[in-house]
Amino acid sequence: MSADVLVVADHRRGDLRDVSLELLSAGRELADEAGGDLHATVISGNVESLAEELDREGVDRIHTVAHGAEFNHDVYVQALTALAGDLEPEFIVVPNSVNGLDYAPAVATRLDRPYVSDAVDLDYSEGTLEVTREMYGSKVETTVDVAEGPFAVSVRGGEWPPAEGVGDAEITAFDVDVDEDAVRSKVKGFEEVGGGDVDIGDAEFLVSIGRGIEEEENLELVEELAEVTGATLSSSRPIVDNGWLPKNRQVGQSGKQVTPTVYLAIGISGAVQHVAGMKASETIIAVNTDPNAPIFDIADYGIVGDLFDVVPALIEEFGGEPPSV
Amino acid sequence: MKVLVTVKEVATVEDDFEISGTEIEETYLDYDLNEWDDYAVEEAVQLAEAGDDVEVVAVTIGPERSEETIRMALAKGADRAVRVWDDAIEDVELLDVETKAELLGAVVEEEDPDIVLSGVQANDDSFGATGVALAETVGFEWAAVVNALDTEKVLDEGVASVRRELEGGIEELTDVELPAVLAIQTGINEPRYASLRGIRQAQSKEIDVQSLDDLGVGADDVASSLDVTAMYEPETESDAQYLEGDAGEQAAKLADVLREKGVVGE
Amino acid sequence: MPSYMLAQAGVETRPTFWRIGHVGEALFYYLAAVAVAIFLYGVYQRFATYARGADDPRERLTDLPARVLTAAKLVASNEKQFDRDLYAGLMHTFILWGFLSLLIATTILGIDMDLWTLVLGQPSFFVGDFYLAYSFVADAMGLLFVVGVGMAIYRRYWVQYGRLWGKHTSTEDDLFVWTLFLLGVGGYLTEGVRILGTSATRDVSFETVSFVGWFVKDVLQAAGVTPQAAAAAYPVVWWSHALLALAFVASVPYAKPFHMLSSYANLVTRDEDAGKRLPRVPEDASPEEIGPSDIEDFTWKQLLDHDACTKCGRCSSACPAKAAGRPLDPRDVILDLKAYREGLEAGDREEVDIVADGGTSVVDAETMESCMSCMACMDACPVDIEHVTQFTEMNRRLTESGQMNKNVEEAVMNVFQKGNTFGDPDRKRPDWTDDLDFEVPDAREQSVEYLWYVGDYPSYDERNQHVARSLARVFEEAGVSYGILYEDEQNDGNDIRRVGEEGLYEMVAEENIEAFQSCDYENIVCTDPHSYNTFSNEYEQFGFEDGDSVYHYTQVVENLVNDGALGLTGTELNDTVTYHDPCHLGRYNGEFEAPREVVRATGVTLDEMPRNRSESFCCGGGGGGLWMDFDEETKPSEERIREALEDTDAGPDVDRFVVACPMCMTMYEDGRKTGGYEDDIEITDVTELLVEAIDAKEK
Ligand SMILES: Cc1cc2nc3c(=O)[nH]c(=O)nc-3n(C[C@H](O)[C@H](O)[C@H](O)COP(=O)(O)OP(=O)(O)OC[C@H]3O[C@@H](n4cnc5c(N)ncnc54)[C@H](O)[C@@H]3O)c2cc1C
Ligand code: SF4
Ligand code: SF4
Repeated sequence: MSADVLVVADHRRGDLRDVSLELLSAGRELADEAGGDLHATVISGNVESLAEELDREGVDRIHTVAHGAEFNHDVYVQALTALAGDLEPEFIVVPNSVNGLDYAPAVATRLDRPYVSDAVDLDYSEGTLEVTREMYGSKVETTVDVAEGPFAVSVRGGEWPPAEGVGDAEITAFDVDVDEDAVRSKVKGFEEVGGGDVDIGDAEFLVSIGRGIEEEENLELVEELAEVTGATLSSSRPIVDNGWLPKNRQVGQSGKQVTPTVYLAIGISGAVQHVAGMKASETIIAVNTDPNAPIFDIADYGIVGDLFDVVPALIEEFGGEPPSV
Repeated sequence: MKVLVTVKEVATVEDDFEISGTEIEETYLDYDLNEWDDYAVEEAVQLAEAGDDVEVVAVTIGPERSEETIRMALAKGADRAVRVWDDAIEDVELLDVETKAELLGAVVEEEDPDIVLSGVQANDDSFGATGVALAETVGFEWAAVVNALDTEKVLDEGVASVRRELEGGIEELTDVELPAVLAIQTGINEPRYASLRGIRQAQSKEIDVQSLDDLGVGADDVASSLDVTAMYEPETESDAQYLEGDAGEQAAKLADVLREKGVVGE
Repeated sequence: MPSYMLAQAGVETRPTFWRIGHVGEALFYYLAAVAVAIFLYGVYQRFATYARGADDPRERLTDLPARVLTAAKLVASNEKQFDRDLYAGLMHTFILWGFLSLLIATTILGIDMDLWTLVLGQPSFFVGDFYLAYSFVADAMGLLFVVGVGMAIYRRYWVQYGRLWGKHTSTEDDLFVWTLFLLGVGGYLTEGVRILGTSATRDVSFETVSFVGWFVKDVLQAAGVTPQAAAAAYPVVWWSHALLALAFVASVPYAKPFHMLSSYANLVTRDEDAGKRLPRVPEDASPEEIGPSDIEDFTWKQLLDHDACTKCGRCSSACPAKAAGRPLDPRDVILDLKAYREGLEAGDREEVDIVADGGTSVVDAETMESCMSCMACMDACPVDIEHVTQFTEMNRRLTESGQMNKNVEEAVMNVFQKGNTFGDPDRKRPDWTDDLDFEVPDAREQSVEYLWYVGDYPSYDERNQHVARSLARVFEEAGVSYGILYEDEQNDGNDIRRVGEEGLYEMVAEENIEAFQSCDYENIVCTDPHSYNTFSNEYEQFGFEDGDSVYHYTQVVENLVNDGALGLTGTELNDTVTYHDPCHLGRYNGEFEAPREVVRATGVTLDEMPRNRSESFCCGGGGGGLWMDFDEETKPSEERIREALEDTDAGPDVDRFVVACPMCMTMYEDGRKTGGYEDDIEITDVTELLVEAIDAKEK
């Protein structure tokens, strides 16, 4: 085994996803701690141009695997197994993205590496990898030691700064003899969901509601708030899962990315997948009963209080009449 | 046809809690069926309802207490259950993905299902990896983060035609050959309510307890490669300005902020 | 054929079958036999249907003579008809007694003609003074009958009285009243024509005793009808009347008149505890077998219920869910079920689910969710139909088929997992005691006279915690030996049972009983009437033997007050208050006075709500209403506060709305806010009032 790090880029429909550059930073840190090189790989799609984008400061080598246009986990698993066999990196670092969820555990299993997901911090010393990660829906953080390498970890987006600058990595094509018989899943297409009446992405002021609202009927309350303030209504995922609001209102990783002037999060805990969709908002205001809710970490203004008291009061502030809920 | 659904009893933490050592104190924990698994169970039961002669087997790794939760799966319509447990497992603080895949894999070998449904992740440790690792362990095909499954195609054509929910409101349409493991995302269906009578009646359904010996897994294989060294409440990095006062005052201050930002008319 | 007349001058009687002839008479008897046969067959069919119904879990035929007698008394007195409605009471009394009298009169005549004279060959007793008295009474009662029917017609068609018209109002209702009317009026016409007709051949002056018939004769005469013309017309008039009467007899089992039998049968088989003690489900019943899926799953008594309904609409007009605009009309539910059964029998309806979500079932899920289990319908129903039992069983079906309302599901899951509807940890149950400056005794550790079951709301809900603390203070003040169960208390299950989660109810009942039994106590006292109801009436089904020593706190406190244990003089407070009877205390369990006594003992002026005692109007929180949300025009709680401020004698001068139930407290605090009454009235629990009085005394 070398002391190298191999990071796997995430891309979709021709574009590199932001998390890929963050991976490079995480990977560089590890490589420095372990005294190895940083390798990156980009699999499928227009690998050359993606590789160039990946070529940032601190990247030593980039391996391109040209096979197919879009993500296929069977191809990824074969490519990464072959590449890992070749490079023997001490660390394989992948994004904890939806696609990461789809191939990383299989790669780790095939390579017989312990796998730890969703790291928010990584620390390597004396042969031990310390992974910091959250548990119980972000209520606690834990540090976990993985005693024996080689390692495979996935990292959370937004935790490392994107790698910058222009690098001078050696870009080489890596040939993988893909066993087509072993490719037993077939991507047939993509569909954009959640179009419809409103585009929350365009809104200047979003009133966003989470599970704190408790019941469908109570939505009237925030609808009224949106009405009197001229805001657009959006929500966290559970509200959409329950069918209380249409999919096009969902903010977050699997919903919309929004960047309004003001994002007012009411009864939303601030789970990472939610935050992914709204953290770039100009001003974030959170209303939550739980002073420890992670949403306050990224908020500019916070109200620790019960939405059933605060929202009616706010409606009245704007001359409206709070509906009875 | 046989459907295996992996379920986990997860601990949920009360708003106020205390940590002792690397664990949350037991008093502050409640136990429940993992949210994602609830959807997986429902999907399995819907498959059974749509097809003739579909058997649904729920499998879990968990102590005796978790039988309470498994009964929920049985009450919702699973035909029987397998619970894997052993003193050797009890000794492990945090089971790693590999071990879970191995243990569940042994059950898969024994049961030989056509399709395995798991949840995308468990609420407590949130590894989000067990389903896919299991698929690789037993040589099944897989798909992760599935938010739609064409039941008829599974039954009639032996293909899992799924949608994977990607980031940013995009869904990937994929056909997966069976046998396969599908990691189910919330919102794929509407999980049904299991009545207490149903749960009580599920007492009569079989929960087969399997030890490591029964599964032919060695005690060494369950030794975790992970060691939890610390647990703490994340310090807030918040530089939020808190609006204090009673609800009326808070609302008034908030209204000022909104006006100042120019997002409300008047 | 005047020569056939048996009547000779000087013998006061009337000719039966006058001018009808032997053939006519034979024909009449033949037709009568046919009518009776049709009647009997119809009745047989109906009862055969009930016999096919499922077994009823309650004993309903034991001590039959007493049941028959009680039911007869109820019918004879018409007390249920007078309840809430004097007009209807009079109307029904007139019709019932008029009808019965005429029935008896006809029977007497039949006996005289067919038994006494024909079979036994005795001289007719239908003569002389007997005849005169008979005629007078029959005419008088007949008049009552016609007046009663007239009142019914006036109200139904002239006034268009709301509750008489509903989804299931049909021609059978029109036919029923008009047939009765024509029978009554036709009887007099026949009589008048006969008197006029016979006046040609004899002195009829004695017939003045038949004063209505005589009057009709006078009218006819005045209109220029000659005795000869009357005699000629008589057979036509008589046959019309006779045929109508026979047709009526034959039709009884097939339409609304059947209520004369079914409603009576329903009263005979009634269950005094219906509603407050819900039936268990068999121990071994699987979820599929719980609650009605098919019409056959209803018990025979429930099928009889459906048939006993007179469509009077009293239930619906008392129903708070209907008043609030929820999609529930108790009469329609009962009649929908009946119509469905009849439709199936007639082959013109497809089989569908009895109750489900989605709109294709006989009864919609939302309809059942709307019911507050307040029992107003059952209290109002003159024929003792047991709505609440049936509605709960339909809720059970919804639960077992996984169609429980989502909001209810959450509350129910909380009870399952945490033992309370709030989903808070049981560790926090005794937190309400923290602010007291004394220690609340632990009944698990010391023997007490009163084991105080505090309940979910008083334990966890901030507003009601204040009530719990007040009650603790009262107990302390009076030196009562009491104690609570601390974290060993669980939700009482009363409302869990009423939303149809019987399995969970069984669980909490068993566990609560276990908790009680581990203590040494003499009586149980409850803050919440819901707990009081289920402990005293229902826990017995799970082996709890002390149901009789369970009290609501107002009952215990009433004794304390009466014994002077609180040292009140009755002058401490001088507010004007009104009092809302909680369904579970009042209508369910008949306790109306204890809370009033306590309220008065504080010195306040108690001004009654117009709808009080058994006519109290539910706050909207019962039957799981507290956990749900409805689109309501006016919430029951808002309506009730309006009633307090507008319809009481003191009107806007009522300072407080006094409650004796934590659920009421929650609902009214809410209604006070949403209805915009915050500045007008305060919601106060009886104990809070008492504590204020104690404080005032100490000052
Ligand atoms: C693959 C994947 C993709 C996902 N994608 C998304 C996504 O796109 N968007 C998304 O939002 N989630 C997404 N999730 C789900 C995410 O993990 C969280 O489960 C979800 O965001 C939680 O939503 P929430 O904050 O509304 O609910 P909760 O986490 O339950 O938080 C509710 C909050 O309300 C507060 N609260 C309760 N009562 C009150 C009250 N009366 N007043 C004020 N506050 C109150 C509570 O303190 C709590 O903080 C995804 C998950 C996975 C695994
Ligand atoms: S119990 Fe009350 S709410 Fe339910 S139907 Fe009867 S009157 Fe209406
Ligand atoms: S159920 Fe009773 S109260 Fe209701 S309409 Fe029928 S008879 Fe009248």
